[in-house]
Amino acid sequence: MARHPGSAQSHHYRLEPTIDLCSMDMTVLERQRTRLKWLKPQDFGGSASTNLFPTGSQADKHQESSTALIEMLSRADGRDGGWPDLTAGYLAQGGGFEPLPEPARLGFGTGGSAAANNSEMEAACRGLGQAAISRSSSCPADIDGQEEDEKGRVAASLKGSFKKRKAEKAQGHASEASSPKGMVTEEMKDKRIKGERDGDGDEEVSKQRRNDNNNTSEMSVETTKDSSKASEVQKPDYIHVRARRGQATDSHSLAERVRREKISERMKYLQDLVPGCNKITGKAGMLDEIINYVQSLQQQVEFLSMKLAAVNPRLDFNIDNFFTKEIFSPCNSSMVSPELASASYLHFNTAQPAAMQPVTPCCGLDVPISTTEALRRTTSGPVTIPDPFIEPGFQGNGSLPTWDADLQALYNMGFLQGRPAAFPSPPFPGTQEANNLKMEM
Amino acid sequence: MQETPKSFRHEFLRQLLLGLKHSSSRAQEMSLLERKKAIKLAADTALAMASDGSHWSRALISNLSKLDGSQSLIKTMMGDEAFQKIKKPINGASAFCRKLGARRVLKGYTMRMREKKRVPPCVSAQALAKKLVKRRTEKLKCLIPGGEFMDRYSLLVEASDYILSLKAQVDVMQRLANVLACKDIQLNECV
Repeated sequence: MARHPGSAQSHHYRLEPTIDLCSMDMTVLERQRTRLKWLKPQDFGGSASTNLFPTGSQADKHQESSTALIEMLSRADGRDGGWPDLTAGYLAQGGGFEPLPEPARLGFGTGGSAAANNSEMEAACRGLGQAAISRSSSCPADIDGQEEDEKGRVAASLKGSFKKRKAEKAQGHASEASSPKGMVTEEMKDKRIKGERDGDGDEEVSKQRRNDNNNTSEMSVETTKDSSKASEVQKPDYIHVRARRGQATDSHSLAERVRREKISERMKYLQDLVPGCNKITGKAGMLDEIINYVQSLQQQVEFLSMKLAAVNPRLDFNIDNFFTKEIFSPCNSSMVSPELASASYLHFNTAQPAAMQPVTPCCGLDVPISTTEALRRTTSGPVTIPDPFIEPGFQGNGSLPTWDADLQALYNMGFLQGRPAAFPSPPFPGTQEANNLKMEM
Repeated sequence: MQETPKSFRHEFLRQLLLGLKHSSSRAQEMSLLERKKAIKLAADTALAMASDGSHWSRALISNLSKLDGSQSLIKTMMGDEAFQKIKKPINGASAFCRKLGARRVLKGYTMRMREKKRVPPCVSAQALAKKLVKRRTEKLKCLIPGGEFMDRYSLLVEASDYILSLKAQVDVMQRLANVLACKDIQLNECV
């Protein structure tokens, strides 16, 4: 892990999953968060709800990224190294940011590039134009090829990534202060990957501000031209946000910047959810797509409920009746689970004993039995849903599978799984069985 | 694109079918539209119950319970105690929320009037972009249940959760409709 030659404390990162962090598919932000997740698992415990849908997506090139802007600003003069922290101490204490529960989910397109500076500026300018964020003080107008975008953005996110944690008072961490080199974060390594200046331990170390003292000392060491956001890893109870170059450094604007980064992260996640949003950049367009998608989904629900109402005049959604026939008939009849078929048979027995008797002796197979039952059942007029269907126990037969067990069988049949082609032309085998029935009858 | 976990779909289908069973007792005398409304109500309630724990699900249930004739179904599906828990804070906070909502609406209205009155000679790109984003955010707030009082970030979080759940709902209902449609076809062919 000691990518930085000058790093004396590469062991700080022993906990990091190297595979994850070496992957170029993750941004620095993601990596950092993964690292933090490893270091402090309890901090992410509460984010279960948001972790429900993990992502691994690649960011799109054309996404607006405030971090790119940040990076552009920080690298406006092409300097990589400086992480002057004019207000680190002030920030650390006056931060009070709310914790960011979930780890980074989105991945920027990654890549290391030695020409990150220009690309960052270009990317930032693009983001500037698209997002109409006119906060940058300097925006060099050299627009390079777009393939630099992602790299620039990654490099940008390196500096712009920050970490929010539960607030803890910044203290002089002797251990960290004593080893500025040891604070090499993953970002540092990434920066090295990107061909940033390495070999200057102080400078790179200064990029990770671990605490006020450290920062101030580093500030004094390195050049103070650049200012950018960095975050620290090993003291996870902080939110360290650096002031950007040319930006106000009070806590309000920093909090705003943090908030905006969160929002842009969320927008990227939503870009994955909503289909066809890969080319859309900018918040307004994305919001438009999201609105349209939600509206279309809601309309689909309405339409489907109308369809269900039309298909089913009596609203009797009897699972055994419908599903045994419909789900099993497309499949091989030998696959019919005997307990389910017998369950449906027994259901019918308890519900309509008289009607079933003359029919069942005709068919010897399980499937035709359920087919017959289904036919009989639906053609015999309105059928009230038998209460035994819902109750776990049936009169006279305590060993019948419950409703949940039926559902479980259905589930096993793949009805509830994510298979798109669950019903491939079911009428045809069903027709066959119906013909068999006709012959028998 | 992410898929909701199978347990979610399973739970949703289970709740949906339970709800439909409950409402099927009166199915004979219902017209098509009434049946559709009952099905939609059951589907939405099942969706909210399956994705319990998120902000929008609670708001959705409270919105649904305000509809006519829905309380019995919701009460059956959720259980009485849960239903009471949902109802209580609604009554308490409704006045506050109404005030808040009213205040926001009024503020938005006055702001819009003011903006219309003084049209700046040159509209900066930033201001225009902000206005667009704001307008769309307002619209999204109306779409997501319970979104009117959220800040922008939580709105996006809820929107992503809501979209995922909606997709699962649509998927499960589609499969259900397929099954029933196939059954109908088979029946028609036999007869």
